[in-house]
This record gives sequence, C-alpha cells and structure tokens, in this order.
Amino acid sequence: MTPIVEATGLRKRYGSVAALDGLDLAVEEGHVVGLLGPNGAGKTTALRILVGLVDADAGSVTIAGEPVSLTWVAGERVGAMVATPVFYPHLSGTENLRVLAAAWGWPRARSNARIAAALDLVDLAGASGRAAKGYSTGMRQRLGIALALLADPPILILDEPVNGLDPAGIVEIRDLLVALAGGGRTILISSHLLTEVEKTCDHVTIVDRGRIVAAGTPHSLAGGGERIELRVALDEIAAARRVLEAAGFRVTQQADPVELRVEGAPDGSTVGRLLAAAGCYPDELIRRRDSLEDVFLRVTGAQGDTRS
Amino acid sequence: MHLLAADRVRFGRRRDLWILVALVPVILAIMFVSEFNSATTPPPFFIFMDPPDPVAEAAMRAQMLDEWRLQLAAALPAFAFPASLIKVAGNVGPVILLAIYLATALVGGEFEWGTVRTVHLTSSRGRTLAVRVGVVVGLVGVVMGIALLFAAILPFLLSFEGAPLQRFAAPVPDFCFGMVTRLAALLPFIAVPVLMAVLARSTSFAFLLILLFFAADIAIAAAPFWSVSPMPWIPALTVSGSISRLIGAPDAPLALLVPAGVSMAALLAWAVLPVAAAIFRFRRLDLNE
Repeated sequence: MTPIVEATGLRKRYGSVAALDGLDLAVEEGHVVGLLGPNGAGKTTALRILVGLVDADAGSVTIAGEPVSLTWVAGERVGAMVATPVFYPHLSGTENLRVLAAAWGWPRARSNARIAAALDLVDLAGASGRAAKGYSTGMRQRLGIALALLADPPILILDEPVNGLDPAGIVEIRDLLVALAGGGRTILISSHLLTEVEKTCDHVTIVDRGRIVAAGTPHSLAGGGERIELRVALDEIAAARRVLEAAGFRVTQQADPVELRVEGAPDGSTVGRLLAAAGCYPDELIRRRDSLEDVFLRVTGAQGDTRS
Repeated sequence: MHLLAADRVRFGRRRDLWILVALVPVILAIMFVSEFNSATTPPPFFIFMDPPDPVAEAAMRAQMLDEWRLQLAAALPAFAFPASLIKVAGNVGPVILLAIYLATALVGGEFEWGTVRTVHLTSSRGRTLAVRVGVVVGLVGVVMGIALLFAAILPFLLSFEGAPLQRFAAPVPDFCFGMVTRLAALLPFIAVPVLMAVLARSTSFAFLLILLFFAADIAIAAAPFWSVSPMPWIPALTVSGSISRLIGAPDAPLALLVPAGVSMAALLAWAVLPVAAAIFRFRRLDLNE
C-alpha cells in the first residue's frame, strides 16, 4: 500500500544541534500511527516539516502524493495541531473556528454546522461563546483539536493531543481518536505518553536523536522479551536454578528483589511443575513480556534522560 | 474575498483597533479647529510708552491689528474648503502613528500568538499577508476618509469675526497632486512596519526596528554633508526626504535640485518594495513559533 504521508531522509539542524538526522516515516492510509520519543528527539520538528511549517535541510515529504514545502497549504485536507494549540485570544472558541471557515469560503450554514460539530466532539460546546484567553489549559488543548477537526479532514496530525488534559479528558480524547480512526482517517500522533499511544495507535514509531530507532505495531514492539519471573525462598534459589537450566531454559538471577528470570519456557505451569517436582515452591510466579515502556527506555536509553 | 472575510472575523472584535480608528479622525478634526482658533485669535499687542499716550497707543494697536488681519487674510483660505482637505491631509502625525500601530499589531500579533501557524495551514502565506496589508491600508483609508469628511464640513461651520469662513475660500493650485502626495506619504508608514514585523516576528521588537529605521531615515535626510557631496540628491530618496520634497516649499533647496517625479517614485518604491520583501520573506520563513 502506498503511504499517504511519507517522509524520506529528513534532516534539520538548528545551529549545532541536529533535530532530525535522516528520519524516514511512512503512514499508510487509514492507520493510526504514534510517534514516540523523549523530549528533544525531533518529534515536533518532524511534524512541523510534515505540514510545511518548517523547511527540511535535506529529504522530502509528500502528503497524498503532493510534495510538501513552505508554500504548500494543508487547507481542508489535513487537520493539524503542532506544538501548543494556537488561537486568537480575543475571540471566542466559535469565532476562532469561524476564522478558518471564512478563509476557506464556507457558506454560513456549513460553517455553523461544522463549528458546532467540532466543538461538540471535543466537549467545548458549553464554553464556545467565551473568549479563548480565559480557557484553561485543557480547554485550549480541546480548542486546538477542534481547529484540526473542523474540516473533517481525512488526515490528522496531532502533536501531544492529550497534553494538559485531566484523566477524564484524556479518556475522552482517546475515545475520540479511536472513533475518528474507525471512520477510516489517517492519524499521526506524537506523544511521550506511552500508554496513550499503546491504546490509540495501531503502529508505533520511536524516534531518538532525530532518527527512527524502532517501529512496528505496539504488540510486535512490546511482544519481545517474553519471560517468567519467579521468587523463591533464598535457600531454594540455587536448586531452582539448577532444575530450570537442566530443562534447557535460560535463567538469570536478579539481585534486587532477588528473583529468577526464566526465558524460553513455554508457559508458567511448566516451570511450576518442574519446581514442584524438585521440592521448590515459588512465592510468586509471573509471566511477563516487555511493555512499550520497556522497549522505549531500552531503544532510547532515556531512563533519567533530561534532554530537552 | 475569503481571506478578507477571515480577517473581518479575526479583527472584528479587536476593540483597540476600532477605538483608534474612531479616535484618530476626531483628533485630526480637533487639531484643525484648534489650529483655526489659534490663527484667528488676535495676538496680545504689548505697547509700552513713556510717558503713556493713550491716543498714540490706540493708533498703534489699530495699525498692528490691521497688519495681523492682512496676514490672516492670506492664511484663512487654507482653512476654507477645499484647501481644508489639504491642511487635514497634511497634519497626519496621528495617522502615521495609527498606520504603524495597525501594521505592526496585525502582522506581528500573528507571530506573538503563534497563530501564524494557523495562517500557514489555512491559506497561502503570501496571499494572506498581501490581504493583511490591504486591510491596514483600508483601515487607514477609512480613517483618512472620515478625517477628510470632517475637513469638508468644518469650514462651513466656522467663522471669523462674524463672517463665514467659506467667504475666504480660494481655489487650490495642484489640488489633486497635493492630495495624492499627502495620501501616498502614508504608505511607507504601513509598508516599512509590515516588513519589520515579519523580520522581527513580534510586535515589540518590530516597534524598536521601526523606530530605528525612521530615526536613521531622518538622520540621513537631514545630514548636512549631502549639500557639499557629489550626491546632493540622496535625501530626496529617503522616506522623510521624499515627503518633504513633495509637500515642502517649491523653492526649498531639495526642490530645486530633484524633480518631483523622482521623489514620487522614491515614495512609491518605499510603499511597494518593503511589502514585496515582506511577502518574499514570509513565504520562506520557518515557522517555529
């Protein structure tokens, strides 16, 4: 399938800092793709280039086959919210949306219908008449999403869409994105909230230092590292380890907490039976596999990283 | 038309703009009336005689008053219609300040709010900026239109020593050229601030650049060494120099040196080239706001 959003070899430097270092990205039609990365990884720069806000030093971008540049206009085809949501502070939520509708030359009836629908979708209808400068952080975020959704575009590009939202708001926006994706839209979301990406996206791309360091479905990325973790009494550890290694499993001992990590076992019950037969009875036996967070931290080396 | 409609929504609720647009013509009308009042109020004649001679003093006072009336008779036609239009169109200090404010606020504000991103995503950058410049020119035009309306009405309401002011009306030579020149003189004060707002990507820094630009412009135009240099016509190419050449006295040194057409061309270049440069730059800006 031909990608509807495609970036090839994107490079961008700000002075001595390489924001993007040969980033390739392909988003197929109808997919919801999450762009993950630590702060300063280049996510927002990539999105800015994707919608033509910023020119890449090298590389190319196409959206629906059209080359994107600084003179390219997204218009009604691509709804985008890049970096923080922006709006005219002296205008109400409705009027901020009306600016776009007017620029696109929509007739009054269509403007009114779409503005009401967009505000309703982000649960901002009740505050639509208030000046946007009085909105809370969460409301501003919702207004930004409403601006992106106004034209009901087939492609959505959203940068940290749930930033500043409370837990209920996060669930609402997540449900909204899932519903929009269900309607066949192509959605590209950048985020550092791993659980949100895991729950919303069918494809994840992890970016670090301006390059893609991992990509795949959340399941395929997180599915690796399947293992059994077990805790046994200290005096039984050596015996347990011998039994499991004799069965052909790879066993490593963790220091804190003291536990054995068993790789290669088909399931937990096999391990349990082997241990019981040897007279070892574990306190705890858990089957685990890498979470997206484990993968993220491993591929970005971002544990405790404060890059900005 | 769509972009114009979008700007109407954008700025329809900017109370600061509308207050200024309403206020400036009133200020111009007040300036016109107060200038007329100050011109038609007889100056105090201080006569000291030692020893005092009331008869001679009265005669001297009457003579001074006659001389003043004679001078006023030459000045009064400038307040009567249609010369009043030229007078108001020439008193444009407040309009220049308004033009600078509008151009900077309407262009620089987009960078400050970050809404320049919305502009980019919605429509062509170049067209949007061109329409925005048109909006500023239109607003300044409305202000000048209202001010000129006042200038057309007020002479019919004013009088001097019981005689209607219009009795002193006289035809104005080169009226159309005078009006066009004075209105065209406003354009650089829109064009340069638009360019500065795009370069500065803010309003406050843009104001600083504008201030520096016009200070440099005035300094260049007023520098004394041009008259003894091989290029004495240089001041006529600056904004302030070209305006002073076009609306100044016809026997001024610059007027004798440089044809009016050259200064008019310079003025129009200052009105067009900065806008063209602003559009060129805006179309190629990385929008990191």
